[in-house]
Amino acid sequence: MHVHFLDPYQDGSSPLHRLDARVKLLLTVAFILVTALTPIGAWPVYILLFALVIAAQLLAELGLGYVLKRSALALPFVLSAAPLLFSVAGDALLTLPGLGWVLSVQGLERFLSLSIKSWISVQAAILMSATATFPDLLQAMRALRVPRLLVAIFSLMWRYLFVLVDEALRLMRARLARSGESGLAGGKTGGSLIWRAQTAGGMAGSLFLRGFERADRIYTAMLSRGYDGEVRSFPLPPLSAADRIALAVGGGVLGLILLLNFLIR
Amino acid sequence: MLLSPFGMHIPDGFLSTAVSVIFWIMSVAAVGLALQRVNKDLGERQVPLMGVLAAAIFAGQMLNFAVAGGTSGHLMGAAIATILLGPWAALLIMTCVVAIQALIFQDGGLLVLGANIFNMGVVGVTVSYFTYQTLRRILGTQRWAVLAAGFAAAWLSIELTALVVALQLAISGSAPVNLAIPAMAGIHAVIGIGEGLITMGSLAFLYATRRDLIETGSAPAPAGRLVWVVGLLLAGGIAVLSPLASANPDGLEWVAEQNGFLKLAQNPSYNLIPDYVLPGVSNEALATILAGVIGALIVAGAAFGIAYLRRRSSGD
Amino acid sequence: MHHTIEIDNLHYAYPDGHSALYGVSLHIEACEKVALVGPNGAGKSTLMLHLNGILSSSQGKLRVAGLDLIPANFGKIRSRVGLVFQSPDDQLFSPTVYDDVAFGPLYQGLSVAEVRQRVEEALALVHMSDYARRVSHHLSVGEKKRIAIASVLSMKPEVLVLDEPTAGLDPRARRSLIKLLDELSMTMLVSTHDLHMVRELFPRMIVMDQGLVVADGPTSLLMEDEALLAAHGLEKP
Repeated sequence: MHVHFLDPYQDGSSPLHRLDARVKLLLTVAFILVTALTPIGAWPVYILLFALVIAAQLLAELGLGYVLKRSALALPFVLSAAPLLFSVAGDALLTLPGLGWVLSVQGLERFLSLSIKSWISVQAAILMSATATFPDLLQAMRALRVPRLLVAIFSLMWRYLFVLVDEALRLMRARLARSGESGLAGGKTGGSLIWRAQTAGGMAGSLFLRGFERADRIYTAMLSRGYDGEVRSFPLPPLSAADRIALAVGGGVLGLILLLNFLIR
Repeated sequence: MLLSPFGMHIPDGFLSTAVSVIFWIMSVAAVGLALQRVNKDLGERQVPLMGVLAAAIFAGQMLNFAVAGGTSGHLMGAAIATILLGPWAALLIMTCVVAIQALIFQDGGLLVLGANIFNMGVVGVTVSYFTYQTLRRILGTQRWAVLAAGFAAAWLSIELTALVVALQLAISGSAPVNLAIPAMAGIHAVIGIGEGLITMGSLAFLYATRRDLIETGSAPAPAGRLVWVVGLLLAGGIAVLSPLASANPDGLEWVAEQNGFLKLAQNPSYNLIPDYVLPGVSNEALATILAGVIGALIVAGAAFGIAYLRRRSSGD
Repeated sequence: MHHTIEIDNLHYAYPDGHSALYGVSLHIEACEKVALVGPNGAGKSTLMLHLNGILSSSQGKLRVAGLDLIPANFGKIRSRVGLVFQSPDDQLFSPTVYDDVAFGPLYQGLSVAEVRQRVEEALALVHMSDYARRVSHHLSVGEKKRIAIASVLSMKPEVLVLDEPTAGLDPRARRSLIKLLDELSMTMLVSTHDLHMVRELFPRMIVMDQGLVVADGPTSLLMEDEALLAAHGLEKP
């Protein structure tokens, strides 16, 4: 069974791939922050930000469709902002018959702004996860002073993520294999809701239990290789000149946009 | 509204920068504290145990059960993690799960990650812990007590997390306050039942196979009864305050201004609690209805659980 | 009642594009006992997962127990085809043995009395009638494998499909499992590396390699063909 479709990393050697993960993480978060600080209705800035993220996608050489396609998955959440259309007071655009709800210009503006900002942000995040391997991101976290213990837990979690997801999928297959219809009249296929939930609970319990036992075995293996509770790791390599330049340029551009935000108000 | 089956992961763009920063600070503080405590309590085994169980919770969130008409229920896992490992380890585990979901799978944003960690980690674990501990003390040590306490802890963890999410969205102006709170509270009152049932199922399985695992996690803290009372009050406080928030947005805004929240994010285009509401829905009526609905569901859930358990024990 | 498996020109590729089956064809008659052998990666498990609709292919014809493998039939097919996976831990997810064996009939909507009867019959078939109250997790690997089989037998399938039933068993447990398979009378397709067991129990043998059927015939004959066995990573027992 292969669960590697879970790993979003797309192998490549584009300029973006070669950029140090620390710089990528910093710039991505800075970008999302600047996006968040952009006011409602600042359409020119949205265009700039969108252009930036598209430029980054081009630098990643993943094909323009890749990130855009993945970002579509995040869009359904946008629907939850729909009520804003009607709840913001302002100049009426149209009125819903029957309910009497008024769709205002300000509501539309707010809804669109929120949706666009969210969409742009998620594209940046997708780009980062597609061009940085998780081990690299762990390094980036260490550079950001995330405590070593937490990074160690992340690391082990990542290692066993696919193993356990695999087990979960196999549990569900085994359940599916025994989920048959009797074909006889009468009798409700599927059992009661509570029974189904309890079965799912048993499966989860089984996962956790095997997790405990596996953790014991891992601990034993670590002990056998000298583990003493202290998490040690290699020192981080210094940033290359290209990385520094990218950081400076990225930071500069974002800083300019931030300035623009203040000026627009 | 937020019907994501995997929990309540807020994406970037939906929380104001101020709210994001505030919750980042709180989460970092809580996680820092947890790291210290875990070091003391679990000793050397901590890294493999928490790593694997974080992976198990993540995988466990993929398990589903058919609810109705193509929809399915899932597990969030804060309650079961807390029951098995205690609050500090559980907080670290939920942090890892939520963080990886955001970083790798874009399930939840990066800037709002602090808030998501707070919601599903701090709130989820704290509520589970205090509920479970209190109920166990009251109900005793038998199997049915474990299951009932587990159900209650799970349901409350979902419901209160949902309320906190709704509040965050309302304060950020991403949703009208008198829709966000009842909608989130209402929908997750039902989703919480699913979480409760799955948690009960896990506990039933573990009670039969490795009862010792359930007992290790539930070792009560040396702090006295006061802690339980305070904890329950806090949990109850959030539940009570939110209807008040929806009934009196001006009140919360006043509080926010007093505490200087407005100085943080320079975004004059919207106020802290936006004054807009869905037309035609009165706030007072909503607050009452909301309280009634939540109350009825709590009673129903308890009755459900007890009736089921009685049937189970008299059946085979 | 058909009790048969009919596969014609089955192709399958995983979602990531990697192909696993390149046109597999085989027919199994009612009450036949057939062994499926071949190296790891040959596609045996992939093939088996098609037999109850867990995997679906758009190329090739598939008909099991008299029903075409289309989504509308999956429910009925899963009642007629009992699929037992390699790792019993993935199949025993209920607190007690009784609960695990009862899952199938309960899902089908049978009455409590009928479920109880099915469980008793299934446990009797695998010679574990005393185990109903036991906790599945605490059993030995051999016992778990027998319970896993019971959990499928309780649905009264027409066809039994097993993935590596003797893998990981000590000689005693293996012997007891072989005896059990001998006693069961339904149509059986078993994938295995255990060629001794094949010679003992299965009159017909199908050899798969790299997603294709490379040999299909009487075990007694194929076992003597050392060149064939060697070519596909098998050793004559």
